[in-house]
Formats: sequence, C-alpha cells, structure tokens
Amino acid sequence: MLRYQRGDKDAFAVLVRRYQVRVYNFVLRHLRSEASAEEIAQEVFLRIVQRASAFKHEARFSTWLYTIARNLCVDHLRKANLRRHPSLDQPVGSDADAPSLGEQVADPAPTVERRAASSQVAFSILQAVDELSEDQREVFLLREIAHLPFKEIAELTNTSENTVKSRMRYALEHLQLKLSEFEEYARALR
Amino acid sequence: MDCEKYDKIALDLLYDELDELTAAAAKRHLDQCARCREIHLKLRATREVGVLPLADVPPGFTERVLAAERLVSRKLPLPQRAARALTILAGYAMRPQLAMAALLLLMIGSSLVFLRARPGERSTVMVTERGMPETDTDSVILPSAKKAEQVTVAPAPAPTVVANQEGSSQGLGDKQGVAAEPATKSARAKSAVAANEYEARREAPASPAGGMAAPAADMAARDDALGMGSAEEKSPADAALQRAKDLQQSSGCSAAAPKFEEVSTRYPGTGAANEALWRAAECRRLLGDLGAARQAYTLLLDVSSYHDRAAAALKQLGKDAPSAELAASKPAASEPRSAAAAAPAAPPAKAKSGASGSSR
Repeated sequence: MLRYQRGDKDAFAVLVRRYQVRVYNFVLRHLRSEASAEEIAQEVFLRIVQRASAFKHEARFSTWLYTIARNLCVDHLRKANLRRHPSLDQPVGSDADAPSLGEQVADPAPTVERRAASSQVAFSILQAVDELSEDQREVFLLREIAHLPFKEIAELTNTSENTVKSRMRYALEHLQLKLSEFEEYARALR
Repeated sequence: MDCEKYDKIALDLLYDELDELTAAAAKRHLDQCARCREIHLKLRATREVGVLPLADVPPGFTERVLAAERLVSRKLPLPQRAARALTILAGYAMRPQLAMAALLLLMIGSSLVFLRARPGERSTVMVTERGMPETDTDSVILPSAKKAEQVTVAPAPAPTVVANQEGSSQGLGDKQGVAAEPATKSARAKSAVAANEYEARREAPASPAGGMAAPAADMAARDDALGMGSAEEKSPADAALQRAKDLQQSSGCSAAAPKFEEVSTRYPGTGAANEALWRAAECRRLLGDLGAARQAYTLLLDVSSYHDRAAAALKQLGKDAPSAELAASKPAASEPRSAAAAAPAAPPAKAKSGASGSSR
C-alpha cells in the first residue's frame, strides 16, 4: 500500500491479486449473492483507490480493507432489504429445478485439498454459516476469512471484544452441531 | 486457573491469541479439568474441519478491477488528486538523497544571502588629504556612476590620507564639487587635529633644538586647557586660527606669525582673533621682532581675558628689551617682511602707547 501511495501503479495490481479471493468470499458469504458479491468486491478496491491518500498506516491494511468491505456490505443489505435470510435449500427464482442458493454459493471449483474433503461437509459448513445471525456470521467471516484478531473485529464492528468472542463461540458451537454427524469431525476429535 | 476463567479465554486459546504465561496456565488447567478439555477439543475439531471453502473470483475480475482503477484515477476529484500528489511528493521527500540535496541547496542559498551584504551603491567615501590647507573651498566631491566618493583634496604636498566611509548621500548632486556641509568641515578639522597631535608627539622628542618646538608644545597645552583643541563645530575664524596653529606646528613661528596676524585682522572682535593676536605676539617675541610683539600685546590690553597676560608680557618685554633687541637684530634683518606684514595689523597710535610699556 505504501508503494501505491507513492505512485507505483503496479502495486495496486499486487494488492488486488493478494486480497481479491478473500474479499470476494467475505462479500459473497456476507451477501449470499454472486452478482452482488462481484459488484461490491470491485467497489471495495475502487474505494481503496479513492481513499488511498487518507490511509495513514495507523492500522493494518487488511483491517482497513475489510472495514470498507463490511461497510459496503451493510449498506448494500440495507438498500436491498436483504436482511431476511433466505434458505440455502430454497431454489433461486421461480423455477423449482433451479439450483439452490447453497449450491450457488458453494465453491464451484474446489482445490485438491478441498476435493479430498467431502462436498457434503462443505455444504454443511456453508449451511451452518448461513443459518447464523447476521452479527454472528459477520464475526465468523472476519475471523475465518479475513483472519482478523478479535480485538480488531471488535473495533471494526463497534462492539466489545467480549461480545465478539461470544458471537464467535456461538457460531463455532452451531457449526460443531452441524459437523458432529460427519466422520472427519470425529477423527479430529481423537 | 479455574473453569470460569477458562471459559473467558477459550477462544483466545483456540486462536492462539494468548500470551505465553496465560496459555501455559490454560493448558495446565486443561490437563486437570475434563470438562474444559472436552470443550476445547470440540472447538478445535470444529475449527479444523469447518474450514470455510473459498470460491474463486469470477473470470476477468482482476482485469475489470484494474481497468476500473485506471478510470477512477483519472476522474478523482481535485482535492483527492492533490492529496495523492502530496503523498507521492512526501514519499520522495523522505528519501535521504533528496533530504541531503535540500540541505545542500539551503546552505548555498544562505551563503548567497551573506555574500550580498556588501556596501550599498549610494554609500559615500570621504577622503581627506592632510597638509597645508589654504582655503575653505578646496574640497571636491567626485560622484561616480556606481559609487559616490566624497574626496576632499588639499593642495599641500603632504600625501597622508584619512578615509572615512559614510552612508550619507549628502552632496551627491553637487557636480561643482564644493563641499559646503558643516559635517564635512568638522570631520576634516577633526582629522586635521588628530594628525596635528600625532605630528606634535612625533616631533617633540626628535627636535629639542628646533627652538620653536617647545613654545609650540606649550601653546598646544594651553589650547587644550582653554578648550581650543576641540575642532568640532568651529567657525571660519576658529578654522583659520586652527590652520595657523597647524602651520606653526609644522613650519614654525616665522611662517605662522603672518597667518595669526591675518586671522586677527580678518575676524576682528572674535575670540579666535584675540587668540591669533596673542599667538602672533608670542611668535614675534620669539622671533625677536619686539616692536611688532609690543604692538600686539598693547592691542590685547583692551581685551579683558588677555589683559593681565598682555600686561605681564609687556612688562617682561620691557625688561628683556635691550638684550633681546640686540639678539634680534640679526634674525630681524633676515625677516624684514614679517615685521612689515605685522605693521598693518596694529594701529600706529596704540603701537606707540604699547611701546612705552604703559598699561591701562
């Protein structure tokens, strides 16, 4: 980011390539809409361009980046009135044979590691995340995708650190409940 | 550590956000507490298995973002573009090479400021040539195109020069070269007095047999006592008297006596005229021209401040007259013009009464 602030145009391409997957997934899981996710993720990077001179390096760049992403998601949800959680099993649109939201959101091209894992497990994870409340999901995504520490999540969401940890623990326990039936989870317990 | 405290730090332990001491204490508690150990194992297994699958960005996403970035960069509002330019400049300014270059330029600039502090173009330089000034109007100002110099030139051959630099531009427009300002005169007189004192100090031990040096020194001492040594703010009469004194110092009484007499006749009634008359009388007495001396002393009897001295001098002159006239007969013959020159200055009637040695 420092290089980009000093006029290095290539530095921005480096930033985009480094953060685009995580930002896109954060927005995707937050909004649960691929079209909106691409639009908002692109807007996140453009906001960085517009506000580059305002970034003072007092916080980590990733924290600043996800703060922008989170605020854009909140604004988008507010505008689109998407605060109600549609079910992942519900088909998108009026066609009953159309893929469900969960199938759309699930990783369309899994890596080698993920291919080894059961697609059923991934689906359960996504379903569990989707079932979380918006506040819990937000904390879970910031912790698991953005890898922000609890303290920074608390600052980013304007809540106390204990509240953040409480939301995160509830999210993990809910995920634990969803995964308890799978053999992989049992192996991990040993 | 107890279970309650573990519950508070369970997530910090799971995500390795604890310091080493607290983490060690928590792990010791987990070794001892089955309940907390089970909670921790379940949370850890959930985290290990429940890794959120990441979707790839849509094809062409990166290119679209970069293209949008170029578009947005061109359309940035002026304040943001200025702020960004400032950030870029600040980034360059923080580099040590530029900091050293800026320091070097600062040093060069400051040195140029000091180099410019030379005398102004309108400053004047006054040069006074000391010697035997003859008139008051012998000062010449020579203005030049860039630096005006006020030069006071005396026709006397003595080449000693005293230079003063003044910021004043007075007299610059006087193309006739006449220095009429009192300040110039007083400065010249002051320098002349200083030079006279120097000459007197130099000549006094060197010429004890000169005959005129000792009386001249006595007169100079008396001048100081009377306050005549100050050359500041002198009238023309005082200036003429001063020049006569200078002449006496440099050339002796034979040359100075006519000058003293000239001063006494040119400025009658002034203190300078009386002093000049006294000095003329003294000089004439020293030269052996007792008649002229007596005439002068007689004239001074009318001046209250010189009355007593003149009377005493006349009395002394009466005593020394026979021997002095004999001694002065030879030098008087060599300087017949001195007595003749002094004659017009003294009225014959009073000269006659003065010659009789009477006093009022």
